[in-house]
Amino acid sequence: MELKGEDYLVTYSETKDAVEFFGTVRLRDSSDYAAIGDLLESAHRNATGVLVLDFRNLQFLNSAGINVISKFVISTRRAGAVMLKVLGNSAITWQQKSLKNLQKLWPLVQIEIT
Amino acid sequence: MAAKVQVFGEYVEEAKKPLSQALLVIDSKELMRNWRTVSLSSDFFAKYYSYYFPYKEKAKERISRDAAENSISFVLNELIENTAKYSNAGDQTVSIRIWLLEEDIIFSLSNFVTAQLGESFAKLAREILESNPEELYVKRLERNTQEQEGGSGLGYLTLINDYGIALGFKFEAAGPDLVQVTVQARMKCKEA
Repeated sequence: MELKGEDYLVTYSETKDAVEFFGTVRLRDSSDYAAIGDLLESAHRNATGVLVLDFRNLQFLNSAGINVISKFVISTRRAGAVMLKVLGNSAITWQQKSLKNLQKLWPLVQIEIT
Repeated sequence: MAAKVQVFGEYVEEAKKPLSQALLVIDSKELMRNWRTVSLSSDFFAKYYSYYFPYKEKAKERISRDAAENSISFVLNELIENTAKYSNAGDQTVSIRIWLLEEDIIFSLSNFVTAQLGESFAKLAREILESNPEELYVKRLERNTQEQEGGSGLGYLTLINDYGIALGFKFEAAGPDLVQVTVQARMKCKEA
């Protein structure tokens, strides 16, 4: 499953149990983010054990996008069916600064920034 | 809006002796129509002002060039997005002003809104400035799970919490049912 915009690509691989983000995602509002929200939801439905969110190739995500990810972390915590592992890139400033906040929403989220 | 001018937070009318300054005036309707121009404008100014920051090897006292470019782009993009989305009165122009100082870089963005929108924005600004921003951030996200986003202040809270930004707001009556809103974000040139 994949979503493609002019500046970004989001893929979900069932074999890897991973959602991967590429490029720059700075969509306008929550209705523009609905497709990404839906992709995350179906990844959640299919996942067994640990679902990986891989941001290592995502140059930018605006706060509206960070909200979508944060809300997904909250809903996954509430559902209690799968765990989340977040992969980040230490060379990309927003990831260094903002990804750690996901653990404030759910301390059991694993975060690896390399 | 009761008072003609309301100012909250860290706000300056004019920066003293900036090392560099820039101004872009643009129609918010154009930004909305071609949404990617918001990102493009942020990236342009981020690249432009990154040249005032040292390469990583030399960046002992200041943020490195790469980090500055990334941070300026994120911060400016949030601010421009908001002016584009929430301009709903007057000629709908947006002014994006940047002052580079020795210690800080200030982004000052103005746009026009109706009195009603100005009032609710002023309330949000006060709430953000008076809050514990980390607590408010988590509280907002937990509460908003089922709601549509919009005017939640989460973008501003991200700037404060993750980028060490000091915010200032000015609301000035500019005519009947017309308020000019200016949002200022001051970012430190040193590593926070």
